[in-house]
Amino acid sequence: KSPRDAYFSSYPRIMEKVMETTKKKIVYGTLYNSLDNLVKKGLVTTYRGEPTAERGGRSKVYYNITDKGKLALQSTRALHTSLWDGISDFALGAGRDE
Amino acid sequence: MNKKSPKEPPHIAEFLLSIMRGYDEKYASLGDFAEFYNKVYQKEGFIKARLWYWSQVFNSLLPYLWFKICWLFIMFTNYLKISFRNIKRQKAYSFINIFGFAVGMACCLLIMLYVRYELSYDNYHGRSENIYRVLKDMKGRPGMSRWMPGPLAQAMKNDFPEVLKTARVDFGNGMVICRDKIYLDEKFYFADQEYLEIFTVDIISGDPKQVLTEPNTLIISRSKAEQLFGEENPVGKTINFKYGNDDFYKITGVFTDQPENSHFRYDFLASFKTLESQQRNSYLYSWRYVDCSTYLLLSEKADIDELVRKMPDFYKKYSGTAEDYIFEIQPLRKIHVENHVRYEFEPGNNIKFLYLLSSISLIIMLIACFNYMNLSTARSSTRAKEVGLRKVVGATRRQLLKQLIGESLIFSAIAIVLSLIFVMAALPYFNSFVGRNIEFYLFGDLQTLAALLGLVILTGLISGSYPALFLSSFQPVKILQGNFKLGSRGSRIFRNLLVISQFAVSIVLIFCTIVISRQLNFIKNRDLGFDKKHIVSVNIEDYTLRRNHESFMNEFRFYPGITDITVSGSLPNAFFRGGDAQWEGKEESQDVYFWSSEAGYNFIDFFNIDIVQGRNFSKEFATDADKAYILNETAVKEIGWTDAAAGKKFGYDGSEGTVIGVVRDYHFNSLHKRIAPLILVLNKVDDTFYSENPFRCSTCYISFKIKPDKIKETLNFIELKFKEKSPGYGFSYTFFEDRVEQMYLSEIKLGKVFNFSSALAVLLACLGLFGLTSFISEQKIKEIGIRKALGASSGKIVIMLSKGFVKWILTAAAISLPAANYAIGIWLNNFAYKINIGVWIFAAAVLFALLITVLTAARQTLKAASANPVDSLKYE
Repeated sequence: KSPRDAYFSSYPRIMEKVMETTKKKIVYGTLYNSLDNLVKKGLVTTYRGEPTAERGGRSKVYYNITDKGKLALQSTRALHTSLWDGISDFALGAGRDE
Repeated sequence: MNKKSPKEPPHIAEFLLSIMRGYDEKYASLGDFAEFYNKVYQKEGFIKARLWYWSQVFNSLLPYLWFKICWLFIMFTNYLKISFRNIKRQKAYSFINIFGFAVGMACCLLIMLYVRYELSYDNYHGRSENIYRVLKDMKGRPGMSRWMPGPLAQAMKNDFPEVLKTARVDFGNGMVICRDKIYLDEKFYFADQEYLEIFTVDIISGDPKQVLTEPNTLIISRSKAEQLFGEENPVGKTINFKYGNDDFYKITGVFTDQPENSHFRYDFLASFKTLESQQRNSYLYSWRYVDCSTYLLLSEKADIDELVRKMPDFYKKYSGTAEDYIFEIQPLRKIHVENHVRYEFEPGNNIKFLYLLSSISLIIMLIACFNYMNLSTARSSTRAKEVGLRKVVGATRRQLLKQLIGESLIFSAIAIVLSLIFVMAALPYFNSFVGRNIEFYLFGDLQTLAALLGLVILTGLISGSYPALFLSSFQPVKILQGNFKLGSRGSRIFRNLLVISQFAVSIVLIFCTIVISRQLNFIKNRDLGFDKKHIVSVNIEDYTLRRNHESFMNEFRFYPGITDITVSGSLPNAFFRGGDAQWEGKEESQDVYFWSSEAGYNFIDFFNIDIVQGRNFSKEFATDADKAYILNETAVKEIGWTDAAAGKKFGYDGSEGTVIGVVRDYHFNSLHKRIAPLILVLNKVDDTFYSENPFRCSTCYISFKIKPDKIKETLNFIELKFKEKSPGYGFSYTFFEDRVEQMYLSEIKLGKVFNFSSALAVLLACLGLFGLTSFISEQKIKEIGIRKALGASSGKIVIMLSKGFVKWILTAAAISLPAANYAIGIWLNNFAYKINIGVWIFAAAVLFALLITVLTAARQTLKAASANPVDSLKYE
């Protein structure tokens, strides 16, 4: 595997990861659009690799997160955390709050 | 697990994925799919991998398609809305376009129906592809003949293995008498039993294999059976078919009436054996006499050309003649549309006429399309803003093209609905014009539906293409800035070309119409060399009457309504006799074909024919009865006598005598032919002649000159007298003038076709012109306003606006008239006697076109010219 693989993820690997994590079989082509939007917003970059026999002679596209993207990720996570904090145990059904 | 070699995903599925454009190029997605496919393949095997891939294809493809369809639908409704809005806003132009299309389409439809019907004749016979007819040429006369010797059929079966079956058919000329009722002009034919094996005849009672095997048997059509016998079963009953003598036939079967698209139709089909069994028909066994039509059923692999090659020797072998005839084996399906055969059972159609009609309908359709193109492009400035805006918000040229062509398709579709209404309304008139019974059931007729669809699409595409290309090429910046100039020089020239061609077509049609109608007029009014008005001719059916006509004629001499009466063996266009002759001083090399007729003593006086030499037949000379000949001028010229012809020896038809007189040439044939040599002899009255030739038509017609104000009563009187004298016979008469007119039926039809099509073409061209002028006037409002403000009069403005049109018309005329002249000249050559195309006809056509144009344009130009400059210059 080329050294690039360490930093960049190819679409198939991304899909693998997603399907592993969610334990669901996803339609293979769903993420193309979203990834494209991320690229357009500058949160992800692409790199075109070498063609391989596996792919029937086609080249491979790799995605990697940019710094901007890392920042966006962190701010999204912070937002989500605060949202979840706000949901009291009561709303989740964990007994009365006296 | 051992690593298997990388496999390729299924190709078809890959192809389907690649349809979604952009996926592959941008994301190298197919490669990703291939990778995952391989992973699945490694882990779970071939089948699972394939399953996965295909499921991905469906999962991706279906939403994609749905997405596309939704978009299409949205855009389509938008285009539709805009199109209808445009139509409503510009009612006049839309009407012109739709109406023009509808008219053109209606013409195309009618003509298509007609041509298809004409070409479908005789196609209902199961073996129509293998049925043929034998033809041979005729010595001395143009065209082919369908008359064959009786024994030819059997001989062909014997000698040629490819001839499987043969059938002879002959027309029966007589009266049908059934239960004391007389029926004239019945469709009575004779045919071999084998006819029923070659052709598809649906016999509903009687044994199909036996109905025509015996003499004096016949089968009758169902409708005729109803007419003659009502509800009773006709089989076994007897019918009298009288041809000179009574002749009784037993009805052996009934058949369903033939479809109308048959090259000949019969109500009675009698067995050919009947003819063969009669003494008087011994000529049927001879090779020296020709009489019947012969049809062949050939094997699948038969080589027609080979057969035609073998015919001359075959014929010579049996007939013993030294003549070299030219033969033709004519396919059944062509009989109706080829008209090179003389004396068909029923008149057919001409393939040239069908071509002509098809071309005319195409031309009219083209004019309508040109109208659309011109009007759309001329009005493009009104749509310029819309186009500009669409481009600005992102429409591609391709999308614009789709929209604009879609619009013309919508026009086309609306027009076709309208045209169907036109066709329904016009069908009865069209049917009576062409003399057919064409039916039109839209939904049962796949061919027509397909044709309609094709028509809509073609019209929309052709007429919409140019305006679409033109409009979609606009540059938004220029439009929205208001700097918009209407198209380049090139497009203006193209538009002018369209108008010029419309005018050219209209002028050609007008010109041809004028020429045809002049020729028809010429025919109608030309002095034929004999009287034709107020003459009624009666065909004598009673053979005894034919002999004793003298005394019978006396009964009419003193009736006040009848001014003259004569007898003859033939009338113009009813000639059947002709042949070679002998004359004093004839040279070996001379070969002249004479027509001949037998006539009464006063025939020449009755018809007011001039005698230029010698004398008429006269009772004073007993030898006149069978030794006197009267020739016409052409006959004398062909013979070559330079001095007086009267007194010279002359021999014809087995007798010899002298020429007693010469008459001035008169048109005893149609004006299509030059006057030919003619021999007149006195009609025979002696008994010996008639016992030898009982059915000779020596005195077939008695002609009466009737006072014009007493026609009806006189006819009644004549009928009464005939019925008195010959009670068992029918009575029928024709007016001489009608007979003469009959010869030109096809020309009269042609005239009507041209009248109608020029009217249509002119109408359409005017519609287009109307639209164009209104628009151009609108465009030039400012210019007109300024000119008026500077002092030009309304008249000058009108002239200025009209100058353009006049130029177009003159150009169109200059281009098209020479070609039209040439083409119509070819048609005129059909006639030996024809008009000259004078210069004034050309001028008339052009002037007529100019007049129409001016009238059409007048309203618009006047309105524009008389507009108040103040108003028009205020227009921003």
